[in-house]
Amino acid sequence: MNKSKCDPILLSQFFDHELEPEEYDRVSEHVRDCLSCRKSLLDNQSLSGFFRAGLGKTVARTRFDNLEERVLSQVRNRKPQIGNWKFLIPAAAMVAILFLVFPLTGPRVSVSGPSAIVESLTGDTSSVMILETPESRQTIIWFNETLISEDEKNEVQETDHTSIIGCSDRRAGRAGPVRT
Amino acid sequence: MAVLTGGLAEPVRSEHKINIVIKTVLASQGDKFADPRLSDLIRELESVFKYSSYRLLSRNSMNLRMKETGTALLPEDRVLKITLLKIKGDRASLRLEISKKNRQIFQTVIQLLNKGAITVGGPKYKGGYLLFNISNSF
Amino acid sequence: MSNKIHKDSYDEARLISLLKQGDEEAFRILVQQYQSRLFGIAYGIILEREESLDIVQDVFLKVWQKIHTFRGDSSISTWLRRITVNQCLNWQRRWKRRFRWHHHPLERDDAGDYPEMGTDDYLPETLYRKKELEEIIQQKLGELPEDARAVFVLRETEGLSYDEIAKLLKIKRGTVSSRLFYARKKLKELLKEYVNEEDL
Repeated sequence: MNKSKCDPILLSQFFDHELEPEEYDRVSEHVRDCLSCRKSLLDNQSLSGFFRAGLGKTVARTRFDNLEERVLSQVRNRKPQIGNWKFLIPAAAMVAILFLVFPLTGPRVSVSGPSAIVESLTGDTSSVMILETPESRQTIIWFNETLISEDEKNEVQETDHTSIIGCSDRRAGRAGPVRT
Repeated sequence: MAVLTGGLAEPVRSEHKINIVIKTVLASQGDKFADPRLSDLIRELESVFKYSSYRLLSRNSMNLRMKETGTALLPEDRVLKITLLKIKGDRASLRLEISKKNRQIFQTVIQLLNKGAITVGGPKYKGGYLLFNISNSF
Repeated sequence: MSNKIHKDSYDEARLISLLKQGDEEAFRILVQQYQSRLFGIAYGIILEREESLDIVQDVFLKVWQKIHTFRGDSSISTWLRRITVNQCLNWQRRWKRRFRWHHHPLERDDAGDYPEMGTDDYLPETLYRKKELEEIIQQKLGELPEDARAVFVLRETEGLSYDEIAKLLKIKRGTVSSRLFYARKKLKELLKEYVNEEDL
């Protein structure tokens, strides 16, 4: 980098103090004489300042509400995990999971199981999620009403395997597919 | 809102009969509102969802015999058909079909625990989402 | 010697040793010590408060379950940071492949933003402008590709060096440099229409 030529990548590294001393000095010298590079450095600084301030406020406003207790209670009550509770899966993927998780001859009725055992699920929705409420294991099927394309549709096959999928063990008010 | 027409399909083959209740709920963000008629359900849903408002739009019930299909008309030309397939032990096997404007959205077969409930949700409606809470007893 | 650990006499080696023994008090201290920091990283990448809280919760759950695998080659903060970033990136990938259930605009919460009296910051216009910019930057950050965003966030929130970021994300140092450059350049472009000459 010399007086006549600006190198924005080098300048960015200069800003981050990621240059070797010799190079740092060279860029420093260039910056002294280059208005546009000085402006760019100031912009980086402002960007950083605004970002950090905004993030800091968000963190300060966030209530963690005994996060440790929630984690500990999850650990204590943990049942064998079938998978992540947050099944954001398209119908085709779900079919595959249904097949993998429970064999054809698996138990079809479980009194202590979830409120509803999903035996099969077919349709043109672009994604489906099955989950359970943590305490009383009430089954929830959540589907995206957007219909899938014909191509995608061909991938969706019907299944007839008994299954329980989805396992919600999150703290109240945090888990779930909403508020993104 | 929902209109029910039970007993449209096949003839009665058994004396088994179940009572099904469908609650159509609008869940949304914004003003906090918990419909008092949904207090138990909201407690359940709040452990999984994070909506601030739950409103009961309609509550309907149907009695189904074996192989019988009941139909509930839901908001925006959606139709929910429920068929009782069999009862085994503590669970009733039900086929649920949701369609919109005569196109089937999805179909599922579930084994629903006696006095248990399942919630099916997802369609967008009036700035929120529709949830259909389907409970049964036999 | 007491088996208890106190916040005031925080000692990482001892904390880890107690965590490995399943000491819940040690776990509470760990969570309190790191929750804000990890949340900052997660929020920077995910840009959604509730989801970020979920991620932080997952991170601590993972730590509790996997602490016996922690060999101490790096500090616990590096380990926690790595798990958080991985969780965030996996989360992002999952969302990206599927769809988002809702679009939730950045939260606007006016609580707790009181300026210092007697400074320029107290001018309502300045105050509003600053707040607006802070929010817009977060919004625009969401328009960056996730890999560039992750690099930017790690640099800005944790002050990590290029080498540290490279190690954490398993990418080359040069890639860190170019992603960071790209992130800033893109952000400046995206913010152009919102800022006056004096803002940025």
